[in-house]
Amino acid sequence: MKSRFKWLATLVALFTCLSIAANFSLTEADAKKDEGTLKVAMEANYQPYNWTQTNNANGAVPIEGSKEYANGYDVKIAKIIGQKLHRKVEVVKTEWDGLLPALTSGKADLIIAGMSPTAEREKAINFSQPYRNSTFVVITKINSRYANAKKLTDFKGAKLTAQQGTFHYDLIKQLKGAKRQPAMRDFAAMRQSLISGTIDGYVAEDTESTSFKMVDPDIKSIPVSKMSGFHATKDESVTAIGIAKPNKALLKSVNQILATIPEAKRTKLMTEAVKQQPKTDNNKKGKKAKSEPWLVSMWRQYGGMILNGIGMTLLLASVGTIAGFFIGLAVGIVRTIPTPTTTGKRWLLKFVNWLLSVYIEVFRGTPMMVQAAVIYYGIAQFWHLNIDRTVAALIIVSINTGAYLAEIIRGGIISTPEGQFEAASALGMTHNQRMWHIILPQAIKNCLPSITNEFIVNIKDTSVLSIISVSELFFVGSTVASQTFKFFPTYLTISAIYLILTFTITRIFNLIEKHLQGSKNYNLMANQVQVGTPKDMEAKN
Amino acid sequence: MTETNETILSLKHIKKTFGEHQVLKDISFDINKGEIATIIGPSGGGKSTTLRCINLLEEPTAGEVDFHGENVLAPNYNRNIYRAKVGMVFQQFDLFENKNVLANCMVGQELVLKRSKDEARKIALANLKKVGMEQYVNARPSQLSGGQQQRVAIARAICMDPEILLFDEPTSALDPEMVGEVLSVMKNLATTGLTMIIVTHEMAFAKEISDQMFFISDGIITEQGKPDQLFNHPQNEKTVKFLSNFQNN
Repeated sequence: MKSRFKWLATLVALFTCLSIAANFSLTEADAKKDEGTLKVAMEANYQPYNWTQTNNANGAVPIEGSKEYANGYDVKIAKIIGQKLHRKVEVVKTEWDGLLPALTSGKADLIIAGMSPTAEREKAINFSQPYRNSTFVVITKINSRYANAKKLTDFKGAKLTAQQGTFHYDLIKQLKGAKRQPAMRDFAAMRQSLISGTIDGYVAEDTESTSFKMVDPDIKSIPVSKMSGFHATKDESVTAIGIAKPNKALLKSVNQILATIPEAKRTKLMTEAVKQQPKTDNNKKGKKAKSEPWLVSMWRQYGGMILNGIGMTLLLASVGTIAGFFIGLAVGIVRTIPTPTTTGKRWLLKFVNWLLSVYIEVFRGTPMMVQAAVIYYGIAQFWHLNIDRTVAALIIVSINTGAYLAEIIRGGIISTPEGQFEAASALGMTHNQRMWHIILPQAIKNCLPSITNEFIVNIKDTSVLSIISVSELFFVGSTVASQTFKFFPTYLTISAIYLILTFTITRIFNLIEKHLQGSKNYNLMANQVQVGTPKDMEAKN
Repeated sequence: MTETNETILSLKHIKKTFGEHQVLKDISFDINKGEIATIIGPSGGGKSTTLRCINLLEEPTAGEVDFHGENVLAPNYNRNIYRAKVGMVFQQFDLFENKNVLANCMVGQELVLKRSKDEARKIALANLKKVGMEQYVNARPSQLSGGQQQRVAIARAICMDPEILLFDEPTSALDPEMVGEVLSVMKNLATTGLTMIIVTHEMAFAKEISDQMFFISDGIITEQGKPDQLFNHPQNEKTVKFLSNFQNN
């Protein structure tokens, strides 16, 4: 009886290991977070405010937990603050929606991410004085009939648009008489439309016109911010630095430092940033760069990043599937332990089974994306445990996969023919011996297609971990897409990579399955070696 | 056929119910060392359940199973060791699908009897030779015919050096042309002095091999005795009727 509970011990040991791993990375993260580092959260994906690059050129600063660097206007401002505070700046690369949680959970000290201090956000965090005032412009072609507009009404009849989901699009309403076109997804689309003539112009910040001019001198930007009758709220026109509410001292020093950066210096920094932002050959008209196919130049610039992304995706999927398999195996085994004879053990087993079914229900019943956010940010916020994001991602994929595989393996155990149990029992085997030597090998073999499937699903579904900014393939892909302004070809390339990965892995597992299956017929001649010499054979014949 | 008077196994008032249905009402018999006993009777009468109660694949609802005079149903009795001494051959062979022929015959020896790998292999090969399956050591169960699988299953059982070997309709799942090879293996075994309890529908075989026969119907033993007595002078009506079915064929 006692040995049956070895399974339980195994399970407990497994969870202990996981928590030790978490703890280990916790202390590691704590050690890193000394006084010397100023952790600044940003997308590193919003040019020219911030972006990701593969080297430290132009004074870029390292991105925490990766080999990449961040640069941009925000980084330049962060460096000034860091210098004055005598703290080294490190960028915490975070998805837009993860910025506030990163701050409130203590994973970052500051948000410098081109963020506007809206009333909604001010409920959660404090904002410094603005570190940039935006100027809004209408970007049009130099030979456009709206190129010389002087007042808001001069845009009458112009087909204008702006980026989807931004207030820029609402600003068009203030240009009386302009024909507001459907909003567009990104600047790349708007630049294309402007050049092809389907629109007369689009509303954006002056930074966009500066960067656009660098690749196409034939455009003109008309500032509208100063035109009479134009109105933009503070929310919309300024960007400020976010600081956690309790951190009053830091807020004070940041404000003091910002006061020492004059407007002229700010403009200079922004111009620098626009010039330094990763070059794209987008819209280059017949210049020499055209001879090189897009894919080649993209790969030259981002190939390393993408390879790292592939590596991270494979790491997450394989570690997640393997660890998930062992979790699933342990859970599946515990859930098929026969009812013990003593009452105490029976209740214990009942309780453990109940716990395990809660685990399975919860993790199968909620999206992995939500689990990732809850575990990564929630744990940091409520228990002040700072888990490394890669470790967090590994844990999440593992326990998520474990929940699925637990049921698959339990099914595999249950569906093993009753005769196999009986034949093993009749030989006098204990429950554990039956399990290890007879039932599990068959159950696992029968589960292999499902396990393969889970692996494939993991390769694709780890993309949702971009929510906690793990730089897996999809996260890298979205970085490349927004920096090159080539959404379609980038995502097409990324999906091709996913397809190659899943296709290859499926074939490998098919081969393994085929190998395990063996041949249908037994070839007497080929298999006789072990029994006797050919002489014996002759004698028999 | 090398029967002694030493009782090795005795069933005392075994009852077994599945839910509402009482399959075994009251089964008692003694088996002597070296005895070949066969159990015959109509389907659903309780033959297989009796056999499964002997090696505790089914837990008797009431009664005693005494092995060498000790009740194996007692709480502290080591059932796994007992089961290793009471081998069983199943109707559906039930070879371990994840193991080849040789490994099927070795796994029980190594795990339960703690024999070394070499010793287990030697014994397995010897027994596979006895059943004529020594050429198939590397084959997987799915690669073999039913008759071949059943012969391996017999080898697997005798590798454990059982004191009693139980056969649960060992030829019922076989195509007719394969029945003979299995029965001849069993006849050979019977000459070695092994105690055997066989549930079967092969009447000619039962008549030839048995020291003692039991006719079980509706959960009770309605008639028992030497083959000659059962076949030639049956006392019970049910036995007469049952046997007439076979003679008519």
